[in-house]
Amino acid sequence: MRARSVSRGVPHYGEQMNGVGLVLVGDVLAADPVISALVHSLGEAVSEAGLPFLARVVDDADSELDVYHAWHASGAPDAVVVIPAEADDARVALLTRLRIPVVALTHEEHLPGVSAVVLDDDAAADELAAFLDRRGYRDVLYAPDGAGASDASDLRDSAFARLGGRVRALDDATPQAVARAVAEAVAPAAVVAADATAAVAIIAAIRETGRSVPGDAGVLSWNDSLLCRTSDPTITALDRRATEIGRLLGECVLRVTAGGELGRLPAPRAGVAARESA
Amino acid sequence: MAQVSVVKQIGPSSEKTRGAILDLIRSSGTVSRNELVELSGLTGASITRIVKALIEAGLVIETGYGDSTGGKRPTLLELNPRSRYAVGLSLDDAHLTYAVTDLGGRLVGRLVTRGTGQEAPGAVIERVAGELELLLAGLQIDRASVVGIGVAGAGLDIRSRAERASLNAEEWENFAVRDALAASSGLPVVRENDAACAAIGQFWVGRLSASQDFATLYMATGFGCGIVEHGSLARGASSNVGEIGHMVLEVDGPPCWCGSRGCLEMLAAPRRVISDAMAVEGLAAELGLSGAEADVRHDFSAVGRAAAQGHTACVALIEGSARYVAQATLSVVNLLDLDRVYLAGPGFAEAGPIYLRVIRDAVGGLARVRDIHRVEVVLSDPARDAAAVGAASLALQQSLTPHARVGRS
Ligand SMILES: [Zn+2]
Repeated sequence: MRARSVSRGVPHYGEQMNGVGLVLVGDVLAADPVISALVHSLGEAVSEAGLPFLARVVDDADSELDVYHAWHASGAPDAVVVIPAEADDARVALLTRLRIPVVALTHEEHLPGVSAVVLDDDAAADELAAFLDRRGYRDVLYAPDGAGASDASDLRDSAFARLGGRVRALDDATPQAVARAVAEAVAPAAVVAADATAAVAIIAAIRETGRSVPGDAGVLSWNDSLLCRTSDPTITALDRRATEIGRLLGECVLRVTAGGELGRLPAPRAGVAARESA
Repeated sequence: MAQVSVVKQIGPSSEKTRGAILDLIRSSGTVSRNELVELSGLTGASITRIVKALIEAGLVIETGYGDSTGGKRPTLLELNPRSRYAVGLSLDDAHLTYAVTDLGGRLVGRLVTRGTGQEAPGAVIERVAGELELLLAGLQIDRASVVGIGVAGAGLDIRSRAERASLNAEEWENFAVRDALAASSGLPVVRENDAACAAIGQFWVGRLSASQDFATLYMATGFGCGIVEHGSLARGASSNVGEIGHMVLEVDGPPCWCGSRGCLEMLAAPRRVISDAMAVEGLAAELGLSGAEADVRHDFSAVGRAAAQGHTACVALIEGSARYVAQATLSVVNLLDLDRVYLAGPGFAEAGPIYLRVIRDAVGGLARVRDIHRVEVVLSDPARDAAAVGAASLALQQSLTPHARVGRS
């Protein structure tokens, strides 16, 4: 926040889209607290260095590519951040072809030669598995519902692979159905809810069946969020370190716009933020 | 929603009615002309005429057919959300945040740039003009489809007493932000303090019922309080409601720049927390605090972050501030008999949960009405840019329902 000690001076604006750009598909800023926190801290890091940071929301993946073409046509931005980027990512390929510098949030094996913050999903999955072991949960139920369900599926799959046969994805993730599944599960059971809102509803439903949380069943949220920290009980969550990752992406993109060499920085490892619910 | 009463209040003609009907279509999702007749109390002929004008302006589209109630199936109308846009700008020490929403209130883009810092108001407004260009170009939005700019900024609305010339950085309060920005951007500009904007944003996007009263306590470098009653922002005699930073909590307390003593701002604002932090031996070195005026927000984030991680001395510092904020909040709740208070703004970004706990304890345990109804205290996600999004909502609201207020129904 040292806006006043910045020495880069007032950025010059012309017709062109200068600064750092990011395109988001769909309503993720409102729906996904992890993305929202990441984009927020990324914007702070970039703007504090004196560069404008623009995030644009579009409806679909095709529109995202159209935006890059349009930005290129009107004088390209200094750099574009792509989150998350997959192997053979079409967006990264296009940006590279348009000679727009890219910084990606991706995995080690993907996009060699592209500046990136690199996620270690295996380590995150290990953390989650170790936490569930330490707490002695015997049956782990996954309730795929809510905003978190569609995102980070790699991470989720690898976490579940490490939990072996103990994890069961529930077909019916309504709170009442989850509470029934808990009643039938091997105690003590843990429920991994897709997000904090789902976790709150599931805790209420479990308590309505006369069981206690976390005594009879632990409830975790797949996403950490403000709600996890402020609900009653507070909710144990997988902390994906979104704010720090956003800052790191900011550092990386500033290095790229300053003409620095390519770099790949490891993202801080996700971990379990242990609170009252599990 | 109470928009119904708006239409009845403002009568059957004029642009106001057009705005009110547009807002009715917005809040209904999809609606038929007959339903609009029912909802508005206007005649079928008036609705037909207004809807025709709205369709011609591209603001409303026909989207299909509703269920027949005998006879021809009615055509359904819907807002054309991408026909117009509104820009919200939050002027803050640490960052300028621009939020662009479509006519339906959905966020289509946000731009973050360097904060106002020590820059003179005139220089900031000049920079804003350039940043608006960048923003609209980057979003490929034609300036002609922007209905206006809402500006969320701290300080008072001093209207005609405002200076037009550029002043130094301390003198935002005397600067005619609205006129200067309207002149440089060529767009209508509406300005409110950041707390009021955050409150309006809560109401506009939060799907709150129009009858719900609430307050939004906003903390950035100082404090503000936006109060919404019956869906309408309380404005007072000069649009300066909510100067909660100057609520006196200690009559013999430290003197405040406003002329009073023991104001909330003197006792609990980030600047106070940092001056207390600098007096704790070794803390400045440990957290890398500079203690300089220009670094207050940065230092406050560092203390807040440490407190959130359980650093004992920092928890004590934040709780010290939070206790005063809680007493001020309690007074507001008692005075207005509120059942809901939001905490918003960048000041709550790091240590928000600690503030929330202390404020909930005070309000839950001490509110005069505690045995009659619950008083909910809710922390808004600081990543949501409440002030900027609210400012865009304000610009939308002004253009959709010019001069109309949602009144008591
Ligand atoms: Zn004062």
